[in-house]
Amino acid sequence: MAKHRNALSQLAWAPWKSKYRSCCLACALVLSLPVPALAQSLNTQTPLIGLLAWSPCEALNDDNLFLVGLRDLGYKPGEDFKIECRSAGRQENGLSVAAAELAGLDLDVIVSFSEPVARAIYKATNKIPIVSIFSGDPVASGMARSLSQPGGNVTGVSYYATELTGKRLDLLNEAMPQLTTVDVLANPTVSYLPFEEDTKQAADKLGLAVRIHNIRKPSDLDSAFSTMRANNAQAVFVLPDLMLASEAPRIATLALEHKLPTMAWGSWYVDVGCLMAYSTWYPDHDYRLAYYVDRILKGARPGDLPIEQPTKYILSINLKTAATLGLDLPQTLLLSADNFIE
Amino acid sequence: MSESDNSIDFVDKASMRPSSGRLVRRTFVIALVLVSSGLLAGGAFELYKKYLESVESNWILQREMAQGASFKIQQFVQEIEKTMLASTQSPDILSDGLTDAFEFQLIKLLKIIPAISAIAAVDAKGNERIKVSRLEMVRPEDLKARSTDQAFLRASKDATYVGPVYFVHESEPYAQIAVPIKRFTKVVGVLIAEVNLKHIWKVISEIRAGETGYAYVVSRDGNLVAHPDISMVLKGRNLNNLDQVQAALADAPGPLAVQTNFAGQAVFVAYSLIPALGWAVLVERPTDEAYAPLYSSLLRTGVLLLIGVGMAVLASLLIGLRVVGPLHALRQGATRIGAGELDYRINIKTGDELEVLADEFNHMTAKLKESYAVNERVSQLKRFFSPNLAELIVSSGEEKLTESHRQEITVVFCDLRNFTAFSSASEPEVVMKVLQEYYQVICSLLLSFEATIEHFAGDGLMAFFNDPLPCPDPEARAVRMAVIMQQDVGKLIDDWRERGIDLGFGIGISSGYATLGHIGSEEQFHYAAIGNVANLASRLCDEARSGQTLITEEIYAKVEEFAEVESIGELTLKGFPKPVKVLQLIGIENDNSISSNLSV
Repeated sequence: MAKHRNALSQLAWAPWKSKYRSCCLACALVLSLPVPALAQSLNTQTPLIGLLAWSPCEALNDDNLFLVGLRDLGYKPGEDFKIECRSAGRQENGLSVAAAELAGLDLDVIVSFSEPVARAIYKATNKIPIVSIFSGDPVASGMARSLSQPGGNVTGVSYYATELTGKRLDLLNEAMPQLTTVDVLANPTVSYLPFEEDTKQAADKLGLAVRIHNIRKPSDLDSAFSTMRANNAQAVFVLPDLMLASEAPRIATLALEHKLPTMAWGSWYVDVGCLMAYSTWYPDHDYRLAYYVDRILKGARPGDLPIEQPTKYILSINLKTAATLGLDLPQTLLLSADNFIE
Repeated sequence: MSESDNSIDFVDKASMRPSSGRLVRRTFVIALVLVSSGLLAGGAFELYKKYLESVESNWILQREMAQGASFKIQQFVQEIEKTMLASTQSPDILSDGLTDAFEFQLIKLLKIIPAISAIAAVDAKGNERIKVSRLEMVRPEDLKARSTDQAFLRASKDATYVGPVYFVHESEPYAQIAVPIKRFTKVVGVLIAEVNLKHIWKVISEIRAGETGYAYVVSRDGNLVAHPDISMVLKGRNLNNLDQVQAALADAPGPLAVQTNFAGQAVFVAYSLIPALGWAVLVERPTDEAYAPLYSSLLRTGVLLLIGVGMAVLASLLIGLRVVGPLHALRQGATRIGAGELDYRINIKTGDELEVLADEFNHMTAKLKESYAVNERVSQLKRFFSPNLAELIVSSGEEKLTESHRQEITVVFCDLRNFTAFSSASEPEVVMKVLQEYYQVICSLLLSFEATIEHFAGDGLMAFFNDPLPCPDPEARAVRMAVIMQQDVGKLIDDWRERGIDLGFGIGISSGYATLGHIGSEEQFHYAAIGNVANLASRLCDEARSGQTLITEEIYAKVEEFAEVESIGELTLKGFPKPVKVLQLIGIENDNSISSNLSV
């Protein structure tokens, strides 16, 4: 019987051999085709995000709104991304060192929270995408070709720091209708941003005189306030700068000491005792940076991502300071305020 | 025999064709058609259903989303419009126009509606009277004339105006919303707000059609107002060239066929017009994703088909093993049996119809063999008996009739005179011809008288009556046959003489007891009669001259009624101690019995 079967299978298979072998081969090939989805999962390298901070990196915690934004987009820390943080140590010259260090790493994107930091990174690399918050006009500073098509390796959100200078001065004038002169605190290190120029123009329009006090280091503040007292200063106007941002408590103390109303560019000044501040809603910007990082990690070119502008603004007023200074603020101003310190 | 020849031919022809391979192939095709047609029909039905579902259900689902979004956007705009209108009810507006105190209302509006970045109160003549902005400081010299603005012209005619989308810094989408300021029925001014449309983006970005579907909003002129990828909006795209955008703005009835989006991707589109604005919300979903279940069911059907093909192959192989093997065995068996191997048996133990067929085949072969054996026996017996008798013997069990026994028989012995001399002197052909003519005559007579032939030897022949079939008048039959033989052979002898052949013919007849029976092997059947009666007939034949028939007294005693004899006297015969009384048969009365005998 076995012999039979042998002969039989030959008989049965003989006509197949020529005609159907190729057919069977094709079937086998189709079955062995790889699932395309498999190929995608091969790219498992965890994205590396560089971060240049003005303050020490230790200050960066899970409450950071950029990290919150990444989490909200579905990124798990350590799993879907890793952070390489470098700090400038609150020193202007620390920026370029940290930037150069980051530029030397194999990073997918570098994030910064302010324009001076972005500039330092921009000088260090024109290859790694940079996502940042801009205080001024990134087109004017040369980092972007236009807001809608930045074109280079830089993108992010702009926070209108320069444009708001006039509005701030206007609001200060509204609070003090008898104002004739403003004393301005400015850091000449960031003179590439047209803060001083804008202030002068706006003051001109409002019919105000301007006195600029150059503050290169925190200790310069004391002498500046002494000069103000000597000149019978009426109000202090703080211009944007990272160093001046961290010196907010000292500025508030000195201003109160000298009975001077202060207009600043961030609500934290008001929290520590300055009279008022007007700015965009900063937390929005930090949070929004995550969107840009997400797009870049998914393959978008930073040059194609338009630089967005803010939509939310905040006017903060410290009513306690106003009372101390004996200021009677107009109703229209109080109505405009979003945030009061009492 | 000719029938079996045909069947061998048939088998041989069949064996030359690849019949078993063809069977497997045919089985494969049938199995394949059965399996795959079912699968294909099912798969096609499923695919078609899914396709219809995807087109219809995508339209319905996405249209619901678009309608939801368009409602929200309309609400967003109407909320701004209503709030603006409410602010115009302020007591700061007198019947003859605006007062500076109205600024308070404008600041309130900025506070309440974050989307408004600046708002201006314009008087009846079209001049800005009061303006507040989030971004810029506004000095009296910043106030402008708006009398030619569409916003002013429309709103001053007591209608809400929503302007076209424009971009600040080439990137921020804005639109103007203007409402009239009325005192009773009189329009005393217009409120014009600059509204940031990024707020609409929040509405749009919440829409998810499937995994990757998205919604976007276009304005009347096809400008992108909102898109989940805000960079698209900030780039200031105009999508008027897309068919679906035109259909949406025209509020054409759906469903819409598959379209191409601005990224060149094939998408399902649904839309909803925002009536108050003339804008449209479009919801697009890539067909790749929508068809994903379609593709997966296609893949499933494909895999099932492959499995079906595999099963068809398996089935045909199985059938091959089960059917083709036995068929092959049957074919081989048929060939061998056809070639004469009647002992060959086909061995198939499949327990089905094939086994029955093989058994039937074996049974047939056995029958065939049996029938062959009978035929052979009959043809053997025909040498001694008439065909009827031979068949009778075989069918009634020849053993009984032909087993050894004693019986009184009448023996007829005849031969040709002078044959030895003739055969040695003549050509073999001539001798054979003479013998042929001679036996033709003799045998036909033996047959018609139902004589049992004992043997032929050259020209001599011995036959007898009354065995194995008994007959009532063996002597009479023998005598009647001898007379006719003499007449018929006599005519032959006359013919031969004319051809120059000189032969004679003599017959001897005797009767008595003899031992009869089968001599020889199974195959070589020989029915012999042994005894003095045979010797006596032989001697009488020897004594007879040409044309003479010699009989014994015992024979004459039985035929004297009709036979005419002449006494020869007592002859001393070799092997017989006493002289034997011999008579010569002269003739018989021409009675009916001869013809009746002949007619048998």
